[in-house]
Amino acid sequence: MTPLFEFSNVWFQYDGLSDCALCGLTVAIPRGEKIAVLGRNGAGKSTFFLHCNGLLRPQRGEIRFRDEALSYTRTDLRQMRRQVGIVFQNPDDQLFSASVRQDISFGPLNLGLSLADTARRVRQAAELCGVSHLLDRPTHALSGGEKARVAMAGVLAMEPSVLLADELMSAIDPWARLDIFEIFQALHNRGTTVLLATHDLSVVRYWATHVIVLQKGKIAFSGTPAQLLGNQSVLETTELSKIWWNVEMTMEKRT
Amino acid sequence: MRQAIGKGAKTVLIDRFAYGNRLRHTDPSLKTAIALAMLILCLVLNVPVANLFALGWMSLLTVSVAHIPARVFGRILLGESAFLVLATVGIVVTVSGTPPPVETLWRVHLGTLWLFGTTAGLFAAVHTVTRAVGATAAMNFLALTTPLVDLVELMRRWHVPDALIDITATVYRATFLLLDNFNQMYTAQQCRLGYVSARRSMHSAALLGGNLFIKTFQKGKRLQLALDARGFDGNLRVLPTQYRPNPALAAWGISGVMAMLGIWWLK
Repeated sequence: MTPLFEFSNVWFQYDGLSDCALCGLTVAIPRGEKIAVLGRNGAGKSTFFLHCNGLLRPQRGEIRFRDEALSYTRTDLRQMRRQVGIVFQNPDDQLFSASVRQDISFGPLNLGLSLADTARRVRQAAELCGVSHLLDRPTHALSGGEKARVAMAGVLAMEPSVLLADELMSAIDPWARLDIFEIFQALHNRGTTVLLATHDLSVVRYWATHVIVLQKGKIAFSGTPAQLLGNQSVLETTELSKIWWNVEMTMEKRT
Repeated sequence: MRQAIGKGAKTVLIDRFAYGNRLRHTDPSLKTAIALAMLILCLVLNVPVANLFALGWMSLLTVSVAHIPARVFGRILLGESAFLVLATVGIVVTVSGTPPPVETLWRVHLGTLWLFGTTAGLFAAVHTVTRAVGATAAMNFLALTTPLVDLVELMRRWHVPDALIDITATVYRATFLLLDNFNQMYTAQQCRLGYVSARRSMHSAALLGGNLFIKTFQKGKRLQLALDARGFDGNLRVLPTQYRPNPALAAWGISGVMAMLGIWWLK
């Protein structure tokens, strides 16, 4: 099967910064997997995601989506964003509308759907994310966990086949995290590819079916969780061994 | 600084009641029509008794029909009245370098200045105050019973240009983000004794102002990215809201307007 995304020697540097955010990144993203994207702060995870959605354009190199080179025309970008949804780290960066219902309806209406179809999608996405009871609430009156689920509903209402979640878990409590993982599982069961940027190695062990490790804008590892966790040298070079030991200790204590 | 936080708290308070009152799901066009009708009648008729009636009528609608606590309605009205009182001082009190005319209600001689009040000035003040209080009560009714989301929706129905609607909706959302940022930064400064003296307060407030601008600008950029990711093409399209008809409120509104006109006609 051809990969979902193929990055070939992709370079990107933000204005005013001396270091590159993506430094010759080459990776193939498989379809239909639950993918954990690991890396320290500044490793390039968010930049990588923004490239996947066409929000940033590589300064060098090429990105292919479903075996076709990404085109940055307005029509092609719209077509791609219909299929690739992104949920941001801070839901407040995403929620712009005054009410939850209106915020969730924004994406589907941009796809050109009718009001009736949009209302149906809003209902379905709200149900999937467990925010049906919040539809008439103002977005600023939600808790952190509720905001995260509403932000996700706003993206899922567009029914993407790929979901990118950029460190969504970092600002929410463990109970809300469990809710989010249930949503991810439901999406995966429907065939959606889910990419989650995270610092949490337990995600690799207990959730992911594929792992990508970024280090200084390059791919340090891409493979299955078993391949990563069983490879001491990779864990050492990516400095994951330091945190992996803590995860193991915590799990041992629990059992 | 404390005043700024107080204002923020009032914004949140009004918004909370706007979402949680008994008239929340009533068509905003009806609530807006009642509020505007009373406001216009207060301004046009300019009969103090009618203005006071408008104050009482709108208070009754807000407190008894919409179930907004009288304490909240009174507190908000009192805050607004403070500005009004300050503004009317200039009407009641005349300052002059020459002796006042023979017929004055009161007069005080302070060095080379004369302070005095006339009957005409007092009448003008009564008219201004009652007119403003009646009109303010009408607008408070609208603010406390109708969330801005509904007013934005109403603007859309009235074919207000999209750009204006989008700006209104975004500013509304940004106000709360700005308040959040402000409160976080203010608390962080307070924890590190940022407001321990007048000098430190000035310095901290200046830093807060500058950083608030930068943070808001960065947030705006991130919001733009998030909108683009969901197919933003320049128009913030969202679903229209469904409202329930409320004939009882319509009857209340019509009765109020008729009563205002009746008072004016009797006068």
